[in-house]
Amino acid sequence: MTTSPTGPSALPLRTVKVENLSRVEGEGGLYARIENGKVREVKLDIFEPPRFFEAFLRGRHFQEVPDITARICGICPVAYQMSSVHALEAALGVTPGPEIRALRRLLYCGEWIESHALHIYLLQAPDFLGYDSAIAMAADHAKEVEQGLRLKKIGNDLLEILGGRATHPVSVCVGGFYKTPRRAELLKLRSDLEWGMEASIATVKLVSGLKFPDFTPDYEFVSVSHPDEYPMNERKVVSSTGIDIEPAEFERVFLEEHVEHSTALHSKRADNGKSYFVGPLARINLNFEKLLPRAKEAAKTCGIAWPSRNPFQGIVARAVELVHAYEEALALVDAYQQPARSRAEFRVHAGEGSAATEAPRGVLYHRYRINDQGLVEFAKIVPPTAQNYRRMEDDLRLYLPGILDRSEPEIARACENLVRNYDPCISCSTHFLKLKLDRE
Amino acid sequence: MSKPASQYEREHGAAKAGACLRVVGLGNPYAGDDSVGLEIVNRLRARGDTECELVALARAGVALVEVLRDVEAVLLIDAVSSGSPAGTLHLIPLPSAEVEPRVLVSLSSHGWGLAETLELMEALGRPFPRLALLGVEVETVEPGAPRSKEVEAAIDIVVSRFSALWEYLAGAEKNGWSGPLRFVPGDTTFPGL
Repeated sequence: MTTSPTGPSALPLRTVKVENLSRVEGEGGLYARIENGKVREVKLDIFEPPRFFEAFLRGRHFQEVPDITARICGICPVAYQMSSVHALEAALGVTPGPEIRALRRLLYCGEWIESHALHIYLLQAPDFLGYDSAIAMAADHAKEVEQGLRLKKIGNDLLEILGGRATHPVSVCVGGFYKTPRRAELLKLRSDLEWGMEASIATVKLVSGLKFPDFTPDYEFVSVSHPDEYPMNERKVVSSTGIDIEPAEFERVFLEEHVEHSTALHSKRADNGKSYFVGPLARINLNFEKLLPRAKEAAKTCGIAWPSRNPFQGIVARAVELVHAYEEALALVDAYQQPARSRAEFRVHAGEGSAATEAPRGVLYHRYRINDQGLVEFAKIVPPTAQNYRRMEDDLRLYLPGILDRSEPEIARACENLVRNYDPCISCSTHFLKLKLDRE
Repeated sequence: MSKPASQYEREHGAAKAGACLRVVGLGNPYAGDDSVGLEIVNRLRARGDTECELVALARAGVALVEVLRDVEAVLLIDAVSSGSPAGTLHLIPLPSAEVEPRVLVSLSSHGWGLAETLELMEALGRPFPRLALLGVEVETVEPGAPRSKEVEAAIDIVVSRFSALWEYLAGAEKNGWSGPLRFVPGDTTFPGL
């Protein structure tokens, strides 16, 4: 890569374009303009067509919402179901009992397991080990890839038992579940879950030994927080700068806005316009003491100093959460007794409610208003990736100046690696990256 | 000298000789004729008289790696588009250069199709099952569209002739089957036995 004069001022100008980000969920690209070694503009181009789910939901019966929102994502349908049922239960004043609550956490464990195992082993590990894809990596690291595939499959098995199928589960409803599993069905998974917990601990050791670039921006981390447990389903939203709010206050503090270069909205703090960071690294930094014992031990002994501000160490945070999810799943399966009633009874009335739960990629906020017939009048969905876009752009702005002396393919790769730290849910449709350098 | 055991074989054992045929229906349940593979598997499951293992995989992705393990032979059923009349049945040993089925290219939401799956299995040293594709020629794959009457008729033929199909595939090595077979719409001699 070279600089070249442009225009009357003859400023050295360079333009970096990554047309298709690979190993991410969906379709997006990257554009950056650098003048005199300074990054003047960074844009994550999200060109996937808008999907209008919030508009689809208007006029639909509230009990259809968890099935419709599950379709937003094939990797994290449970998150969309959980945020929607919690928000609708807040609107209807429904409080499912402890058995339902535990079963929902177990379902969420299944989703964290399959999503985290996929991202660690098949999407992100090739970045650190210098391979273009998981397939190329598998030739030299078959044992690790087999371990990752098995870890992921157990998560899918758990989802299938609880949700009726592994993708887009169909058992979740407002008030509880349409159907709960028999204890014997879940116990069949017990030995797999035990294996998974040990394999996850090995995963923490594996990924904490990777070489991480020296990059520690001053982030505001945001996550769900619960007084007694590592956050999944409930309930407040907290941040590393002191935010501590009920879900109903979310839109007062965090603002979504349209930006010209993206079909996805970008979130920021409403008061100061700054970006913030959601996801496993935010969760572990804000909730370390609530990790279950084996997960906490793995985190403490892996050599990473928590809290960590290095986004590349998100892979370690994800691995620690894999241990936590297996550990919690095992405990929940052991304690499980099939409830006499699978869902709470309630009276339908008009109302409005919001909820934030923790998708594998971070905070997922939903708000609904329903009328007295139970039909949705208004829906708002703020996914974790939309909350991270602005932060990803800020990261690229900070990271690019330090890597401009590298070759074009190396810069492209480094940018992708940085974005993949966030496990963005715009999809992993390609395994190539085109970097265009415009010289003027 | 025999080939050393792969990582997969050391941990899971070699594929069982004579294991049952696994039938995997692929497709999108909400896109007209694209649901044909799923529907055939669902109909066979509802009938309950086949000993084959039946798998409906609406969103294949990396999960394809799992359905090709621990089995001697796999029949994939999927929608195809080759220019033949809708409802034409294509029975093809895979991999094949004759027809490029949808499952061979990366159109899944993860860019993960059969080609990537087979590459990954090879990299991992996993044993390969015998693979065949039953492709059903589509009329429409419009979102929300019902299945075409031509594809519905093809589904009836496949389901009613499934035991003959199983016999044909089980004896594929003996009967020398090595190339694609095509059955015009309404051909009840499918699969040719």
